[in-house]
Amino acid sequence: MEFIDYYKVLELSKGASTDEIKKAYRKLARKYHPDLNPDDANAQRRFQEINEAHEVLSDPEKRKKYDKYGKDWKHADAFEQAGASSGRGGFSGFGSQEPGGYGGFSEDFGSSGFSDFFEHLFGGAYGDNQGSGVRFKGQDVKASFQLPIREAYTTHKRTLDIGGKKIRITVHAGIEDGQTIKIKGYGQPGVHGGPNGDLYLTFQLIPDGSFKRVGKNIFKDVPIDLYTAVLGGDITVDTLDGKVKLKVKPGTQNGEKVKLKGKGFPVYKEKDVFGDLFLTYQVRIPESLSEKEKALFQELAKIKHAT
Amino acid sequence: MKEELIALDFFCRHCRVEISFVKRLSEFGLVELVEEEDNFFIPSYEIGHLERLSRLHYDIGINTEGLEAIQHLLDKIEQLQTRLKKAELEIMYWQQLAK
Repeated sequence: MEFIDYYKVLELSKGASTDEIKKAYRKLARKYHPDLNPDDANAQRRFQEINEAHEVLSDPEKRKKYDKYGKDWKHADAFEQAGASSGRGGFSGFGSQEPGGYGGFSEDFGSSGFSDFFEHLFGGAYGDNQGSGVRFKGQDVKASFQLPIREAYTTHKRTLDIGGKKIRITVHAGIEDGQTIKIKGYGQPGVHGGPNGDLYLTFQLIPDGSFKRVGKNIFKDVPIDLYTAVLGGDITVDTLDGKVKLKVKPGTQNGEKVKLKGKGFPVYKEKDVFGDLFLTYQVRIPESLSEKEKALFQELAKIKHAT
Repeated sequence: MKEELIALDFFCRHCRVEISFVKRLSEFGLVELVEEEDNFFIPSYEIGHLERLSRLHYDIGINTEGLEAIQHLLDKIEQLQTRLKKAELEIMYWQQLAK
């Protein structure tokens, strides 16, 4: 484990008094407290370091050893205590007992509304001592994952890298933008043998410029040329389900819509249930005409005006 | 839907929080308490929120007035983060359309 200079963490000099340590701890804890920095992993890490530094420097015994042995102070502690009956080694880095008497919440900063109180009551993690302290569930972790909308069309497996840990998940077809799934046990490790926290993964769907999804339905513009719009004809349209052949009826107007039933987005976790695909025809008017085309259009116009 | 209620004294005993502190939060409108026949209860949906306020008070000594200000700012941050996420996705959508 990397050596942490606790004095540096608390922005203090080596000769700092107990009062200065307390003051510095309070100031920095206010700044980096995870409840004041939601979704900020850096602040959470800093807060852990600040707590760890405070736990050592505010305890005269630990501070003495830390000052004497520096980065090896934990080993020195173990060496000095060899043969002694105390079995406690190291500390969790969290959960300062400041101020006296209170110790109910400091281990878990999930801002998602999931509660320590309920975990303790129903999760079996409370009061189960293992000689050195109360077991706490590890901190829940929130992460977001960007997924191209086309990939949300089919159920597939995916390996994610969350904080260096590889996690293989199943992404179910039809997942919505902003939807959060819970992956149990992939949060921070538990404290004193408590269970791991959970991972809350929020999907952010990256839109595709060629269509728009509204719930289970898809909306798409389809360009057709003037001649197909006037005379009718066959066109091929790209859908998420593959290419579809369509008959355009003669006299199709610009902006006219057609509905393809069951060609929309799958409904999340419902087998074989799909929304619809709504197509809007965009009639393209030719911009540059050859002399011959121009003459023919003029001829058509004359016929139209003569009738 | 009927909300589950947790007795205030049970919560306070379990979490080592003073009853007067929770009542003060309620007076400031920061948590909702339900009074039934002289007994106070906390709706279950308020528990997570109450824990967060208690941590801020007991861990770093923020008083009730400070908690009120913080709550207001945290609500604002959440709103802005949601708007930012939506705006980023909207920009991506238009960028794809422009390609």
